[in-house]
Amino acid sequence: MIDELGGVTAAAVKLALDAATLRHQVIANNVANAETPGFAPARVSFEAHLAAARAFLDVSDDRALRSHLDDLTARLASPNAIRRQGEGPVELDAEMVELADNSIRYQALLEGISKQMAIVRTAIEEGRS
Amino acid sequence: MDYATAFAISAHGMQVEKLRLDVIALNLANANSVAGPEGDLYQPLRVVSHSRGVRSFALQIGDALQRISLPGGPAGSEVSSLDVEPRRVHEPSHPAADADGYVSYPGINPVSEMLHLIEATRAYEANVRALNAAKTMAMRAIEIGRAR
Amino acid sequence: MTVDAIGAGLRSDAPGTIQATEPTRFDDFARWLDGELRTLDVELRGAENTLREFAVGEGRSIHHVMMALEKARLSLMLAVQVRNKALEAYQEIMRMQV
Repeated sequence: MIDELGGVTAAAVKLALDAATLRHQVIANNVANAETPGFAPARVSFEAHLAAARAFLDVSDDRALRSHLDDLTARLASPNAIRRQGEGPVELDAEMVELADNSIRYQALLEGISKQMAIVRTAIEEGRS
Repeated sequence: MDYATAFAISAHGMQVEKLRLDVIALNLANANSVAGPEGDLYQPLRVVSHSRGVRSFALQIGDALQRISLPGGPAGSEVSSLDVEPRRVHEPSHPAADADGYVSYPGINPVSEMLHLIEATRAYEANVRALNAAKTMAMRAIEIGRAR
Repeated sequence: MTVDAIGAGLRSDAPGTIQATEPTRFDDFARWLDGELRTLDVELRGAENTLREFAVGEGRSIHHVMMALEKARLSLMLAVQVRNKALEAYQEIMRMQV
């Protein structure tokens, strides 16, 4: 029953959080290898797949979106999610920008799902703290 | 997404200023180099960056409100060489001296190069500050409705 | 039952006039309550959709998502409190000795 309370929204947010976590690790790895000769910075190229899930948002059938999300979860776990970008050296300021962007997104997702669960909690607690 | 656009603009600005820095460093490093065997003397370089579609800025704002985001940062940045006269110094004993005893050095003015260096540094810092401001705004937006 | 509805109620009284209001009939109230609950439902779904869109990358700005969720939560809390009060009133009436 708890799974149903979170619903597809919680699954979608969880997936986005997983992607952000992976992206953070990739960025940290890039920064750690900034001085390594021959190291090419990597990026998480997951957003295109996530974008494909948008088609399922409008349809009110949650099951279609959920199965799509399960498929995306598997894709995120595969090594293909991370791609090397070119051969260039690591640009630290570009990595810092990516880091800032990713951190914001992660925290926004966390706060969003917290608020969503607070709504469900309000209904469960019937307004009594 | 709103903040992502702001980050992209600042990131692009930072890239351009870093390029400017590289070019200035190159100019300074070649300040005392003479012409090579093919007779090509180093010409000082400058980064020329122009913004994208200044005329249609009002349209850009309108588009942005409809979620079509067009970062308005510097679009193209070209490195072009300046057409300056070489600096001629009278050094008859120099191996590269010409018939009149003059050696031609690139017409680089170290003072103006240093000025451009300072400007590039300031512009870079300003971009960083803009990016930090965008990040702070996004963080505050996340705190909407959060009890203190 | 949205937070906006409170403000609407206040505006409808012209200052300085005391009007004898028509007693509300029972089915009017029921219909009104039903309408407000439907509005609340739409608002809650809308807020959840905004969050979903944000997660998938389609979404609008962060403050839009946060504000939508917070408004929905406040509307729900208001509805729950109204329901609790109505329930209390009913129970009090039922306790009366006839």
